[in-house]
Amino acid sequence: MSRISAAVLVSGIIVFGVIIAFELAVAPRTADPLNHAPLTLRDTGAVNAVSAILFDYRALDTLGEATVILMTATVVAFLTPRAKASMLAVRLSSIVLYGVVLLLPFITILGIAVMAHGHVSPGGGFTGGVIVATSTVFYAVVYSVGGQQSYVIAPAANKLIENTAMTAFIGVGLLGLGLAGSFLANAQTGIPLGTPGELLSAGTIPMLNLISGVKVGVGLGIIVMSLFLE
Amino acid sequence: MNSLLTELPVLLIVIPLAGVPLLYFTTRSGRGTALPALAVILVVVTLLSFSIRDAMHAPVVTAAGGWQPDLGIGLQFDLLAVAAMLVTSLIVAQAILSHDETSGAQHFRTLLMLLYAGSNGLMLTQDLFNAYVFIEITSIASYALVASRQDKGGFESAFKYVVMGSFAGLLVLWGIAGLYLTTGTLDMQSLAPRFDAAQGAVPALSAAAIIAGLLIKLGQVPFHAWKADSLSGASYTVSALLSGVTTTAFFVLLLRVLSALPSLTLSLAPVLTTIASLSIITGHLMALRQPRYSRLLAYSSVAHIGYGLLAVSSGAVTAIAAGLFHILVHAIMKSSLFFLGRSFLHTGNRSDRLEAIVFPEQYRKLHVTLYVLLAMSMIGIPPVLGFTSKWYAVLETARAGYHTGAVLIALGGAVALVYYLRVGIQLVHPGLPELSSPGPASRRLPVPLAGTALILLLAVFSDRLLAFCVQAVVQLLEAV
Repeated sequence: MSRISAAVLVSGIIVFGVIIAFELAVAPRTADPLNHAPLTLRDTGAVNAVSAILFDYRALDTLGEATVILMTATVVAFLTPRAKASMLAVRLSSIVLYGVVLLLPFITILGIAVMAHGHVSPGGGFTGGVIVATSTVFYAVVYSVGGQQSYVIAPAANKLIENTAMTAFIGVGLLGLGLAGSFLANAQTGIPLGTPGELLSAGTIPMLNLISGVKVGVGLGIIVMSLFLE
Repeated sequence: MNSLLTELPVLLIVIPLAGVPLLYFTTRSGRGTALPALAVILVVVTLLSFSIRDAMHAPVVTAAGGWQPDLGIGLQFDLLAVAAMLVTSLIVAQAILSHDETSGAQHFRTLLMLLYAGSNGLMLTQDLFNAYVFIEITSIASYALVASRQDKGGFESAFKYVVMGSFAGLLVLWGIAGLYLTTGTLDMQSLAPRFDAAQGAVPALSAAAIIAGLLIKLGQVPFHAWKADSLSGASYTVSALLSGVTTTAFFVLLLRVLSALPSLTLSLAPVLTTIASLSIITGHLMALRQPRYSRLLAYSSVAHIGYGLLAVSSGAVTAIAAGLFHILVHAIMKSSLFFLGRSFLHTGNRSDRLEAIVFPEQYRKLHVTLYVLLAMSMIGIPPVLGFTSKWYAVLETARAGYHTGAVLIALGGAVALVYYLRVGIQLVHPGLPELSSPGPASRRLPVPLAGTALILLLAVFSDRLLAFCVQAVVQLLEAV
């Protein structure tokens, strides 16, 4: 493709995008979407309405999204490239080597805190999982330099954790099925919702937050590390 | 038991999902067998067959997690889902039996379970965004399956598939966002009145984007070329899955979306008819000049899905039922033809060029018989099921007033006769000398025996099967 046609194509896409965005912005609405926000506190006990929607009202979607991450991890681990990333030959400076040691505990704790407080403050399993994954990936990248491989969690253990978390997610769902007659039910099961705003509140939401955090953290770890570890 | 019945749609999705960790934990120590995966399918099929009676009575509607649709996600188990899921379960089971390579078998079965869960979800959900989640699961599993041969051709095909699939997925997602923005609901049951009351171009444009995305996923003109490209690089087992399971699932979802928006469907009918007619013509003519077995079958799929779409676009209940019936029968026979292709490999020949394909010495007569029966079914020659499903499609399309369409479907068979005959002659009288080093001789009976037996036996009950499909379509249209 010549440079001119590429420019025409790209500008065409941009113009089209602007028109669509404008249309969407001024589009008349038949009915406003159902507003979950005033209901979440009563229904789920979660202060964070986004978490309430993700892990209670639409928990089935979240099970699906968590599955997508598990699947991507499986796929990347399976289709490992023959030529791994060549960064292993690079010599890192001592500032990086020692700086990582100082930073990692804090990053990990931040990740776990974001996961655990998903129902009371912004964040949650997906965000916290990504933060935790950053720390494990960071460690593996920095200390795998020079040919020898280092990791916090061995790749085989990663898969074990990932599958255990998947089982746990389905287990929480089955708990709802057993107690309240519907899969992934929360308040109907009779689990106390607690005082809104406290760490132990909102029934199954913190459990699912932690489980999906583990899944995302480990899954992203598998994805990135498959690209450069043997 | 009552609560289990109402939770059935969720269970039908969760059981295959639970199959993923199940496969992992049962095969962690050893090489692993196909048993856990087959057990999952057996459980799903058992649940399905025990609940057909309830579904006939009335569709089983579930509010996932106990939250009513709009607040949560609605799922529906009806006869449409029963019929389609029985077909896809059969194909998935055949795929597990067909995949006899030891390397990567574990990954293959894991991806298969994910594909199974995703396609079940696609056929059961009533929520547009939930449908998108299952589109993602189904699509990513199929990209990975296409690449699982791990050679250059496989990766190339998978890449093309990813590009086309993501484009289609993006269209669907954009459409869902637009519909949600303007109508304020994601639930297909309550979409129609709000959609009709909506003003401006965005609602119609959004719905059209969803339908266009699904048509790309189905490989209809003008986005038909990716299908042959991605199927030709995949292994035969994976091609069978893609043309059997994912196609059926997307077709069922398309039916649900179309029936959720009756006013739009009515005004889009001419467009759908044109796309379907062009697909029939293009598919058959392209199949005529394909030098390779899997590309030929892929283009024939384009035409056959066109038959289904043409019948559906006519809008009459019996015609939609005939279209659905043909799509389901096509899924069985096309996947069987792909499974049959696996036997070519047992001669030690990796190429699938038409002048090179040969059945192995063992069970050659059986293989040829299977091919002849399946090809007859694809072309539409009595007494196999493919003939009756096509007959109904022609009849009902004509009855709905689409005479040109009926003629197209009938003429398609004549073209198909030419290319299936060409393959058949090669298979009966192999032009090439036997390969000197035959591959690992398989003592097992060919897998498509099951599918072929089914299309032969079920032909006797064609009228009842069509009646079942009519009932399914009536349920689908009544629900909205």
